[in-house]
Formats: sequence, structure tokens, C-alpha cells
Amino acid sequence: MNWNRRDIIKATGVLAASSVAATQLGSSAWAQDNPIKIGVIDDASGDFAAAVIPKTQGAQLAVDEINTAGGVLGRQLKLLHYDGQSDVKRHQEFAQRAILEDEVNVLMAGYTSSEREAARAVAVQNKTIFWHNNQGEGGIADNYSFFTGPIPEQQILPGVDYMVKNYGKKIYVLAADYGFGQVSAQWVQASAGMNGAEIVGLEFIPLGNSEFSSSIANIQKAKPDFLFLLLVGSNQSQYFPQALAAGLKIPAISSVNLQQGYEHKIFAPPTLENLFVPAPFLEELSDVNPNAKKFVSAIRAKYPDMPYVNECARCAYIAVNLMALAWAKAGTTDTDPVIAALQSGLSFDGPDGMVMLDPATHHLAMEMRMAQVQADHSVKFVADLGKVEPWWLKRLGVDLTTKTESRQYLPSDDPELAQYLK
Amino acid sequence: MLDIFIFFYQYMDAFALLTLSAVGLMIIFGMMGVINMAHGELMMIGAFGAARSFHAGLPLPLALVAGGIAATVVGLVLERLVIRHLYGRLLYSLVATWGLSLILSQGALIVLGTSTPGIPSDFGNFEVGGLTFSVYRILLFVITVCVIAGLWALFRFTGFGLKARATMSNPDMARALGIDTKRIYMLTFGLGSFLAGFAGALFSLTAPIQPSFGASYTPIAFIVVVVAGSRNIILGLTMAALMLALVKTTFTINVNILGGYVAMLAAALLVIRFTPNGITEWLRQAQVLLRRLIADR
Repeated sequence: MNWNRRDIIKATGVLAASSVAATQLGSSAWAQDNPIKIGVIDDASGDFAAAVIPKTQGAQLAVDEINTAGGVLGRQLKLLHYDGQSDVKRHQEFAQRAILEDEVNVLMAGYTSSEREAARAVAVQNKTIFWHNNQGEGGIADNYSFFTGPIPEQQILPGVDYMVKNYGKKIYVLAADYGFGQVSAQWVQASAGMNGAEIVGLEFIPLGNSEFSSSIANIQKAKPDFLFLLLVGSNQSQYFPQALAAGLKIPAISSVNLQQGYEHKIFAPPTLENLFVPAPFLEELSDVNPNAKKFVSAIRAKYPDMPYVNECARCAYIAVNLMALAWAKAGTTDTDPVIAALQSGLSFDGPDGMVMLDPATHHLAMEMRMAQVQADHSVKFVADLGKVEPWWLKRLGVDLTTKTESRQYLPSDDPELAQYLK
Repeated sequence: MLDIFIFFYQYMDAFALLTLSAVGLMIIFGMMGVINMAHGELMMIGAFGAARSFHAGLPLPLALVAGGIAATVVGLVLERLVIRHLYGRLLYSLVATWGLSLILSQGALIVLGTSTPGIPSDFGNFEVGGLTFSVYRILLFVITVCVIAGLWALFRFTGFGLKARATMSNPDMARALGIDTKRIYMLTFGLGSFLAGFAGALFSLTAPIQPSFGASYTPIAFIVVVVAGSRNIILGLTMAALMLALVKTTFTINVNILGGYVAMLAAALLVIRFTPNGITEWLRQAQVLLRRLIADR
């Protein structure tokens, strides 16, 4: 059914204006007969839109740059964008549509872990290469799935280590109450145990909750040395102004806030003062790093109104570039040779320096930095956490180059971490 | 002692949140039998209006009112174009205003962008028993009480209030007596929109101002209004908010945040099960029953 409509559109030269279902972002690709199709399901509306819209823009920038340089395998790349609407069900539906109807060559989808899993299940079932392009709770070992975002051993372990050394051993955790938050909270518990620190409070916050009076009182009663925040979505980000208004002045660290939701650009200073962020990339990195500067000026030239160039933009940009390298290396878009190419130790000189796609785990080795938000909401890079490998799955014996797997490992699967979980 | 203060602080906070979220919706529902599912989006427009006019140089109190006015303008346009055709038709109005809410939030995303810088809100804090609490939250409660008192005075003492109450209790008779009920409906819808926008502006001081801003308030407002019923706007709203806030606070403190939501929904279900027309209807029945008992004596 789609072919007819497309032919008509092509013939009349009318660009699909604004279908909620599949907004065609690229226009150059229409002229090309047989483009390589990159399907992205990104939330352009709903609670996660602010964080996720830059992701589509990062992917589009990569597509445009690659097409300008002549495309891949003599073909142009084409981005097919589906608005996931911050809705898990939409992700599942659009994943089916992208793979079965639009026959995309690769699918990149999901912001939250629940969205990711909904789309990923469809991709894996249909043997389609899948990318998740933001920070996550890690642990996924799957032959068809690839990840550009940092994972707990790159963020939570070094982050807790840094905070315990600088602020003390009592930790209070506020975590979003779903897959990502629960698994990440386990990682915080395990990291605390490894550092001889103590969890003095752990609260799970329902997604969509925006009232934090009770949590703020609980935190003050528990008197932690620092907070570990795993808050997701714009509703939960109301924690920050409410904590400020209540005079809560405890240093906090987050593996997810600021780098995705740029709360420091949304709330007036000094709301986020003393928030620590372990991250490979922040827009502010462009002040000190030439790679980041190049990326930020390129994406800002294309999208001058972007409120912030966040981690999602960085991840999607890297994912598209790594796919282009893999297609070129494989000489084809067929799934199996492309996966072999992806597993050949690809590296890419990206927005935050050289990243390497680890063949055994399908995650990136990347340079990690600790950033601290100042009173005026500028960001200072206070520590270099070094190049961190995605080592945890390898410790559990995962090697996707030799062994087929399709599961998610949890901290409880690792005896060394499990001993610290209550 | 500290725990008692924490309880009352959070109770006040929850009461203010529920009341302010619902007041605009309540007036429109009580008056015209229309549930405005675009209520949250009017709040969102109020938030954007307040933030933009604050950053354009307006002092904070005026910026908050400007937010309310922005929502009033949009509300009146919607009323003239769509909603006035649906008065008294609850189900039609639900579907139509839900559509409007989608259009407004997606339209805001396209026109206003993903977010706008918030208003710095430094009202300070105070200490009780070693814990610090937000002055702004206390202020929110005081404003809530003022809004309720102001509404009561408006309906009780002004000509508009008299006509509005007459229209509400018997629109046909009010029309027969020469009241322009359509005009009253329009003004009431404008008032409801203003209150929604004003509430949105107030909440925007501690919330990210984004097109999806209102989505989390509409369900809360909806529950309050359903529990309150339409018999008596101000008493119903106050009683429903007091009761739901009590349940929510008790369970949030003793169980957790999720427990607070579950208990609030369960309480709302119970109320609807035993008094399908809300607690105001139940109050009226109780009143009638009490009179009869006294008369029997």
C-alpha cells in the first residue's frame, strides 16, 4: 500500500508534509532510487520529547554529512522518523511498521528502557540490527543489539567511587520506578558496597510523579553525604526546583539527569548547583575539546534553535556513523556480514573523542568525564575518569563474536555484585 | 512533634496542588456540565505566558496574572469555536476537548519549542526541628485559600455571581427571567480558563515549562472534580481536595509515593461507588435527611 502512495508523492514532487506516523526528515533521499534506510523511533511529543528531539537531529546531521560526502556503497542514506510519542506501545507498533512495511536496514529506537525493550524485541525477532542511543542500565547481551550510551560500569561505579572519596559514605537514592531505575539502583547499591559506603535511603518514584515534598523530608531526616539521582522525564525533574525551594543543599550525582534532559538550561540558576554528572559528552565539553567543538558547531549550524546539544544527539550521531562504517566495510547491507563488520573492532573519532565498538559486548569504550554544575549553571569538568571499557559483561563470560545470546544480565547475576544487594 | 509538622506541611501542600489543579475545571464542569480535557493545556499556556512575560520584564505577580490572561484568551477562542456547541453534553465534550488538548500541546511544541527558561523562584526556606521547608509551598497554600475565598465572594456578592448561580440551578428559568445564559456560560468558561492559566503559572515556578506540562495535572483535576460532583462548586471542591489530600498524604508518608497515589484513587473509587454524583450530592441528601429527622421529632 505504501508503494503506491510513495510513487504518487514522488511523481507529483510533493514532500510528505506532516504525517504523525512517519515524518520524512530528509529530502535529498527522495531523489535517490534505492537509499539505505535508517529507521528511528524517537519521541517527538509527550513527556520525553525535550530530551529526545535532539537525538533525531543528531542522526539527521550524520546522515546529511555522509550523504554530502557521497553516501555509502554508492547509495544515499535516508532517515525514516517515527514519533514514538513517549509511549511504549507506539514503539512496538512503529518497530513492526519500520521493519515489516518500510523495510529499514537498521532500527534505532527507544529512550526509556521500556520503550527500548518494546522496539528491540521486534527488531531481534525479525533479525534486524538495533541501536539504542542513550545512557542505559546495561547488561544486554544480544547479537542484533548495539549501544552507544554509557552503562553502569562507565558511570555508576566510577561516579560512586568519586563521590564517596570527596563527600562521604552515606548515600540516599531517588530512582524512577521502572526497569532502568530499579536496575541502576541495584548498581548504586553494589557500588556502595564495593566502596564501603552505606545506602541510608532508597526511594522509587513513580514515572510521572512531580511531587517531592515527602522525599525531601525523608532525605533531610536520613542526613546523607550525597544523593544518587536516577530521575526520568520532565515530571520527575521537578525534584530539582522543589529541593532548592526547601533549602536542600546536599551534593548529588546523576547518571541520567542534565546530560539528557538539560535541566540546567530549563530551570533558573542555581537550581542544579553541585550536581555531579559522569558523562562522555556534554555540550559544554565543546569549550575544552576540539572534537566536541566541531560537532556542536555543526549541529548548531543545522539546528540554530536547539535548546541544548545533549547526550542523545551525540549517541545517535555516533550510531549512524558506525553503521556507515560497517556497511562500507561489509560491502553490503545484508544483516550477517554487517554484524560481522560491526564486530570487527570499529572505532570512530566522534564528538567526545575516539570511541571503540567492543566486539564482545556491542557497547562502546569511551572517554568518561566528571562534570560539576556551578551556581550560575555553567559546567566545570572536575575529573577525568579515563577511557572506560564496557568490561562487566565480559567478566560474566559474554562474547558475542563466538556465542549467540539474547538476554539481559542483572547485577544479581554477578556474585561479586550480588553480595551487596539486600 | 516534627512528624506532626511534616504531616501538616505535606497535607497543606497536597491540598494546594489538588485545589489549584482542579479549580478551573471545577467551575466549568459545575456550571455547564462540560469536562474540559484541555484543562491541562490551558495550564501549560498559563505557564508559558507567565515565563515569557516575566523574561520580557514584567514583575512576578503581574507575570502570573499575564499567564492567566493568556489562558483566558485561548479558552475564550475555544469556547466560541467549539465548546459552546457542547454544553450539557458530557460525553461529546470529553471527546472534543481531548482532541483540543492534543492539538494544543502539539501546537505548542511546534510554535513555542520544547521548553522555555523558567522563572527563578527564591522565596527562601525556614527551619523546623533541623529540617528546612519551602516558603513557596506555604505561599501556594495561602494563595489557594485566597482563590477559594475570592470565588466564594464572587458568586455570593456580585451580580455576575447571582446570575451564574441562577443559571446553574435552572438555566431555563434563568433565561425566562431575562438572564443572557450564553453570555454567563462564556464568562464562566473564561473565568475557568483564567484560573487554569493562573494555576499553571504558579506551578511553573517549580516545574519545567514544556508543551507536555499540563498532561500530569489533568488526571488529578479530573479525579477531584468527579469526587466533588457538580452540586456546589466551592464547597465540593474544598471538601474533595481536603479528603483526597488527607488520604494521599497519609499513605505517602506511611507507605511511599506510589502508595499515596493508589490510596487516592481507591478513595475516589469508593466515593464514586457510594455517591455516584459526588460528595456534594451526598451532603445535600444528608442535609435533607437531617431536616426530616428534626422535623419528625
